[in-house]
Amino acid sequence: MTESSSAPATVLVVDDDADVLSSLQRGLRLSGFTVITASDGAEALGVVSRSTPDAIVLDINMPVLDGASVVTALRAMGNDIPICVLSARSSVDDRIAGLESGADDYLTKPFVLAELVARIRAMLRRRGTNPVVPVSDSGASNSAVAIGSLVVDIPGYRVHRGGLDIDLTKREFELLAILARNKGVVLTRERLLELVWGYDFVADTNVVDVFVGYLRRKLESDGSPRILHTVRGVGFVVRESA
Amino acid sequence: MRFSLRARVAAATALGATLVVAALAVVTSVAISRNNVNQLDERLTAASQVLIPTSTTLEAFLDQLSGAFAVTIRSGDIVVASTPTRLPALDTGSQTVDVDGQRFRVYTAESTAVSSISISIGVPAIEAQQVTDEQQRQVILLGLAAIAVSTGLGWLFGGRAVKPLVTLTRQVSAQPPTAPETRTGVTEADELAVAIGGMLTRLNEAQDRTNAALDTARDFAAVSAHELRTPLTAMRTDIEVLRTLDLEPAQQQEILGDLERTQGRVETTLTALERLASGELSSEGDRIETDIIDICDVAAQDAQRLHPGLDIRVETAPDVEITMRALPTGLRLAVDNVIGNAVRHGDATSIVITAERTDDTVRVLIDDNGSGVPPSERETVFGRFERGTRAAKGGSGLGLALVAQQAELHGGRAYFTDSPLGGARLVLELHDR
Repeated sequence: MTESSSAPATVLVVDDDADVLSSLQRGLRLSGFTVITASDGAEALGVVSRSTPDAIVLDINMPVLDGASVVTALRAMGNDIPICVLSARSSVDDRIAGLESGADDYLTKPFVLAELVARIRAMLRRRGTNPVVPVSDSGASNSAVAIGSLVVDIPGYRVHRGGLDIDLTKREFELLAILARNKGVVLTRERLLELVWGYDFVADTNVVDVFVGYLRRKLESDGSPRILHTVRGVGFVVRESA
Repeated sequence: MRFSLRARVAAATALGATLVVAALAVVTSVAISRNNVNQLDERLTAASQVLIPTSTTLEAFLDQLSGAFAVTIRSGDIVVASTPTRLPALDTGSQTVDVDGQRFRVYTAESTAVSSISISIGVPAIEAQQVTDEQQRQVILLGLAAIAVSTGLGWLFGGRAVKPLVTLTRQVSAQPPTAPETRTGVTEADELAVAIGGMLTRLNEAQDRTNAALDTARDFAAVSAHELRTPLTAMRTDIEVLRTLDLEPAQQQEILGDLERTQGRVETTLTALERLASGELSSEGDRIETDIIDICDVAAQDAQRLHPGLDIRVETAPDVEITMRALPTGLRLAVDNVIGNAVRHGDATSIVITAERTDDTVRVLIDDNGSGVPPSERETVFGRFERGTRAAKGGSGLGLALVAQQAELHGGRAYFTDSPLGGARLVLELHDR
């Protein structure tokens, strides 16, 4: 159950519910992680600065400082620690608090522990690597891609249209960059999960759709035509609108 | 049959015009007819006055005359002379007679000056009738034209008259409907506008209330779901750990203990939710004459069994009796919850219950020597799924919400004050209606 020969990764679990906190702590510890806990957002921020965990599992509904605020605060400080948020909402609403602020993934309570463990491992593997600079690629297409008036500057890590920068979170940028590099090529959800999130397992998640929704909102907020299209039954593709 | 208001106005105008025109036409026709006969009579009278003096001359060739008229001269009963068409003997004056199947208008005059003769002059009535018919036809045509014109004008002005209503319709059928203006200058339209405005306001208010109730229900459902999902998350994680990992018996026991506790928590939440719902659904018929002190007494005895270390007493004078129309199960639930809270969250070891009555108000005071409720939280802890900061972990957050609900159901309220015992005093204020 150990990650590798190196020291086990440290995961910070934040939840205001004592039962959830203790069961997650035990479950993750027995799955091979070193687990530290915090019972509210403010405490979590303190723990992050003191003990620099490798990943965070963060409940959204918390007193004092909620999960979304924790994500916002961490990202504002330039901390790109992988964060998986836990949401208690079952609704199909794709606006998951925390994810919009820059969290990487989410799970809806109650969830399967194995699923959480797999996501944490994927997030840890991804950490420090840049998925938009693929190892296999010779780097030929690894430059700015123009889709209509939109420019995805992959090496510069920025997206702009008509000289105006569009502010994207890390995951949003990575998703857009992968799709832009494969402009005109339809990528399946599974492929995107693999390329952007590093999932090498079958995950029951609509996180790709959620992020596609966020991207569309940001890219189309000025009334620009859609460039990120859904290919029903297959996946997503970036192409100039006809 | 459906007609527009404008068409109805036009039709009403047409009907009115038809009645007026018909009455006028009848009067005119009669007048025309009478006038024509009178004119004929005057002509005949004039002719007779010319003829009488020359009657003797006339007699000679009268029988040779033929034409559209008839003259008969009589002396007594004897016909002195006549045109081929002989008129019968008639009294003096104007009359209408039929001769040989033809209708004549006749004027008969008597002359006593020369000799006693009577002279009758007749012309066929058909001539006068033709003139009358022609004039009457003109009257009818004019009448029809008048009806047509007034109908058209009715349509034209009707359009203007119903314009406020058309405007009103447009405003009311707009999405969303706008409250109509009430200054059209047309009384009916203004009254209708006021009525519609009032109706719209009432509808909007009703809709707002429904929406507010739905929002509350939606919020409550979301919060309830959250409250149930949280312990279920812990349970699921524990079960998975038990199933997938090879654990020491001691670890297994620990997890099973946690599972049992969390399961109890889900159950408590569900029971509380059920009670909240049934409280909301209680009706007037569920209220019966209830002995309040008796309820407190039974609750205290049960609490004593449940918490053997607790010192719990109901302190009221033995001869005092407080009864009111109430929901006994609901009140019992409220008292139980307050006692349970004092023990579980306040770590109380001593609880004293007193009850008093002032007029229609019954107060049940539950004092404890526990840790109390901080003043800043004394209001909020009564909210649903609100837990005090000093509360023990794992409560449903609904216990005091249930107490507040029962107080409200009994027309009163529940609130915290400081207790002379050092902990919290919960006042359950009930109103005997």
